[in-house]
Amino acid sequence: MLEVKKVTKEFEKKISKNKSIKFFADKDISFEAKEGEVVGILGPNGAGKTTLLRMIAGIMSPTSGEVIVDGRSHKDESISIKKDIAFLTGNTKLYKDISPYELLKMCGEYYGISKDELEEKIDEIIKKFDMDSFKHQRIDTLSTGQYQRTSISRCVVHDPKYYILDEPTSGLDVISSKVIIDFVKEAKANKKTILYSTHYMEEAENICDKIVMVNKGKVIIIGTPEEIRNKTKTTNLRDSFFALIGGVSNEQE
Amino acid sequence: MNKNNILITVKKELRSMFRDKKTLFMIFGFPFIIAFFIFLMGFMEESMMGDGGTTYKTGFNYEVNEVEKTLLDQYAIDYVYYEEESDLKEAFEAGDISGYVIYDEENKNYSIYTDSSMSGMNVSSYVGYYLDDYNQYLGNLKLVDQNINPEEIYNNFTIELKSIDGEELSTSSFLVELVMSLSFTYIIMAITLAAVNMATSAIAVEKEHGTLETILTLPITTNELIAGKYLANVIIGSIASLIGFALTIVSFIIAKSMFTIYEEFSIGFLAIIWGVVICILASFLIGGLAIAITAKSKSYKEAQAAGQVLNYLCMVPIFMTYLDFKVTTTYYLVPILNYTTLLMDLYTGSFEYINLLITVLSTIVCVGVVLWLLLKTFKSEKVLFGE
Repeated sequence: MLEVKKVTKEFEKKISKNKSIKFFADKDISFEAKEGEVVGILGPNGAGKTTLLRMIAGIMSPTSGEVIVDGRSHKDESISIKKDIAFLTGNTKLYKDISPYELLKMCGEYYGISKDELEEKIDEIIKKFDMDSFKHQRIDTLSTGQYQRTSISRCVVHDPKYYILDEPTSGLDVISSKVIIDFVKEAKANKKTILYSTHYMEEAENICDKIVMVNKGKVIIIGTPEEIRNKTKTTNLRDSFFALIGGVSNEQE
Repeated sequence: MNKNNILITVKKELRSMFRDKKTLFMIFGFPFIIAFFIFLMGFMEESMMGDGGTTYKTGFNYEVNEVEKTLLDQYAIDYVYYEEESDLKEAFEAGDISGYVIYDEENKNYSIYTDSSMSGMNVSSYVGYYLDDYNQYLGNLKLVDQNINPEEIYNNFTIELKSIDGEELSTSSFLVELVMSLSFTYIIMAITLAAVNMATSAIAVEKEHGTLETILTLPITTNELIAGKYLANVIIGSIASLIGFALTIVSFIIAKSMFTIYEEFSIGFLAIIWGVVICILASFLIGGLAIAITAKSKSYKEAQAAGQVLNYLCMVPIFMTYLDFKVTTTYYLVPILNYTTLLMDLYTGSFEYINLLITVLSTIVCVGVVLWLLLKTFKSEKVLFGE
């Protein structure tokens, strides 16, 4: 189980040469994600979703609070937690000068997978994502679809328990988005826990078991899509969101 | 620290570097500039001195006697006779001769015709020397006719050139020192060019392209990541400098057999070993400095601009040679500058082990400080993710 306990992240932003302001990207955020659950983190741009997911993935440290993954805290067991997590963002960039095969090999090596096991695993992944025709091609020569498949394949090389997907469909066309949605559905079927951040409310409604709605760095509601709709007396999550924030979000300010 | 993670990072960085044409040029192409420079300076110096076997075909409208022939030979003037001034002009324009001399018997006047090219300038100088000597020879003949010993007229005193610091004084020694200073500066500069280029792509470009975030999601600590990038930078810097060093030494050895100005250059086995040690020492420090300097840059351009500081710093020893700056033992504490000077010392006979020891100690302290700074810098999320 993945537990986010009162996580707060404070940043300092320079606004002029001698002046800087402090602000909270996330404040006292708590929720949990159980095995096989798809938890949607919803909110407008600037709501604090990416910072929150970065803290959960262990690439940023919270100012206060903690993230517990299967009883382990990032504070002392970050590396062991990272081995159980895959982090994919919509703007994940891959090394341009290597091939998908080399990328998978490098990631597998970082995860400490033995040489023979890794070779087997890579063959399996290449087959599964239909990457055989471009596995030795430089990544900067891949098409958007091939790049997308390579991005996802990188996340599955160590067979993680948890997937953290930060706006993975952002800027993608319908076909490329479907690849991601299908991947989430398959991972869910395999009892993986998925944190799925998006600002596309309809997308979240379709695939998430639970929704954590955030605005201005704070959780405004947690529940299943149905619970949220009922609580806010609306017919969809978009309307629920606006009903909860009274029509004002960070993005609009 | 997980050694495996460091090794994977080193491998990743090196692979990336060896696939980048710009870095490949820095490593393998740049040292050839040093070799070219050594030969160019040797050629230029000997052209100026006229003792490099180069002769200058020069036209004359008069026939010379045996004495004049000897003098012309001495000044590398290849005598060609043309009867008419128009023929001389024509031959010069056709490029058959580098200049010509017209003698006006009536006014007892020699006119030297040439242009502003290097060979033209040499012809004007050497013909001038020959005529001065010949003029003196004719004067001496007149004195002898009057039973006067020319030596009594001219040798009123003697001049002796003495070196204050005990070093041999010659016009070419300064030039050789300058060539060495430039060559060894280029060797150290090869490290900074390669290291800055690598640091730029290892940090700033990774940030710019968003791959730094991707790699941080993997089970690797920032300390391991930075250690891997640093070691890769040291390896690249060492390769660049060792290629430059080897090429410089080979060039000097070949140039020694071709140009007399390099005849004092001597090379021993120990000098090569210490040269290699100095190159590697320099790579350890410059590799770290390059990452530290470019760490806060958010883009390729910003990082390249920041890295220029190191390149400028490397050039200081050249100016020091120009200004004839005398180095003391404490000078060897100054990082970067000490490497070039120590390399020069190896081949100018002024190498002292105490200076090498000071350089080693200074490098160890500086590398320690740089590594501490690097690890501290990369703890900051501002450095990793920007403002």
